Amino acid sequence: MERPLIEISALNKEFRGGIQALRDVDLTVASGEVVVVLGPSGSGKSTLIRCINGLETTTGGSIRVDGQQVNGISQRRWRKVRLNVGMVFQNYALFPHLNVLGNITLAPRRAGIMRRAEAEDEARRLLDMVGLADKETAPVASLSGGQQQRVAICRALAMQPKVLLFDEPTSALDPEMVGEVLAVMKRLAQEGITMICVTHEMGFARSAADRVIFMDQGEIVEMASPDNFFTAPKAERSRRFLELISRHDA
Amino acid sequence: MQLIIDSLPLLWRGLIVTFQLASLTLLFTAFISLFVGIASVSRFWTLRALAVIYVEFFRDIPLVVNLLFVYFGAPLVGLALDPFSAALVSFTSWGSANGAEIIRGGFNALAKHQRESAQALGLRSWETMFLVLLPQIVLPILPAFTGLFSLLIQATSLATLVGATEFLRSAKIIVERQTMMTGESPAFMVFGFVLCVYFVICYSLNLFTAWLERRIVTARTVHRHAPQEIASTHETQVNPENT
Ligand SMILES: Nc1ncnc2c1ncn2[C@@H]1O[C@H](COP(=O)(O)OP(=O)(O)OP(=O)(O)O)[C@@H](O)[C@H]1O
Ligand SMILES: [Mg+2]
Repeated sequence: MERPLIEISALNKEFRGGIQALRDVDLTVASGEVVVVLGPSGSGKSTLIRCINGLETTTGGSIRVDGQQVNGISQRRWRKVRLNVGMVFQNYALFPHLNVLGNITLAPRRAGIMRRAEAEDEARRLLDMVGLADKETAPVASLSGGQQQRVAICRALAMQPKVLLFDEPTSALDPEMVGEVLAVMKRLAQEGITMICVTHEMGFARSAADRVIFMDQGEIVEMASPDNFFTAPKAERSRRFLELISRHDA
Repeated sequence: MQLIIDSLPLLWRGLIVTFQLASLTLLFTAFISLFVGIASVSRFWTLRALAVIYVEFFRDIPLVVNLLFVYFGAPLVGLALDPFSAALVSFTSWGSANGAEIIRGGFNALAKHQRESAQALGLRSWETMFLVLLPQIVLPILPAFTGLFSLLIQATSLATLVGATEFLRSAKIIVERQTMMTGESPAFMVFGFVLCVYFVICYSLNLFTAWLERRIVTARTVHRHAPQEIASTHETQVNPENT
């Protein structure tokens, strides 16, 4: 059997001040898999994916990324790991002093993955894929939220990561822009890119996810295929969550 | 007026000293501010602590006291400084403590996601600092730094107190000499001239930074499309959604 890309076992995270954000979380993600993380606010979804690229330290358990033990390693060694782990933030976090091309090419050039011309070609290819071919020289402040988020996805992809983490990539967007970002994410899912997505977009979870994880109070309450999860949730807490969501959507 | 024209060589020499003192002060202040400011947001607590001590120590002492202390105190530890050097050390320490605080404020005002997204992209910590964070704080701290630089230029006149023959002191010498020779004090005119010179220098500095600010803002927000449009200086506004 192929080695899983991400192996998390008995992961615990307690913030200073005593908040237990993760409790004995076990999760294995295979290469090419799309995992959607659902759960109410404060359930530890962001904390979980932030532990996978070292933006949070852990207080117990183990994380392996691509076979390498990563919890507790130095910032210097995290850098190497992060070259393989892309992340897309809720508020895009593009670099406002660089234009679109500069945002996308900075990291691959600094990491020595590509030279300038090569990086720019790759950036153009990615921009074309997300429908922003005409924006390569635009300052990021001139773009809409949906456009900025698509650039942020290109920026992460330009590093050719083995896995992409998304933390509520559409939550900060105006409703009319959600679709364009989800379309890009669906396309990436179809292309076989390994993704872990925290999102409240149930439609996306249904259509793109291989697996759905439901978290509550720092625990993984339920893990199932989207079909099973949405039609026949096993746990009481999942049922209540889905009920709330559907009532909200109606 | 004739007096000022006659005294120009002396005033000019004083002005040169003021220029030297001011430019060296600003140069060192900029570098040390940057260094201490970066230390104050380091992930190593020892660096942060040292930065805080430096900033608090020099910020909480009046500049005049600092200057007198450096000039008259340095010989006691076997470091006799001439007036110019004493002034330079004093103004730079005071300026860089304030400058470091401005820079620290600039970093703190940046969204935390900026640092995180740079880290998440696998940038090294110096790359994160110099290619991502620092370029972003330039614009927001520009006004405060202009203010500080302006204060420092004005503060160079304090060097008179320890006997540096800079611009203000040259003027004073002229006034005293003239008063002695003619019995009439030309203080109003001579110091008025000094005032105007300081005003022109600091006001030009303000104009320059205002211009710089506008340029940076334009570069970061306005999407210049095709070359023809640049040629006609026509600026393209934010484009409507294209999907
Ligand atoms: N830096 C922090 N310091 C202390 N507590 C924190 C910190 N970050 C998160 N927490 C706490 O950890 C818990 C989990 O937070 P987390 O952000 O992972 O939740 P989430 O599921 O992503 O929620 P949301 O849907 O609101 O984004 C919450 O109780 C939160 O208050
Ligand atoms: Mg969250």
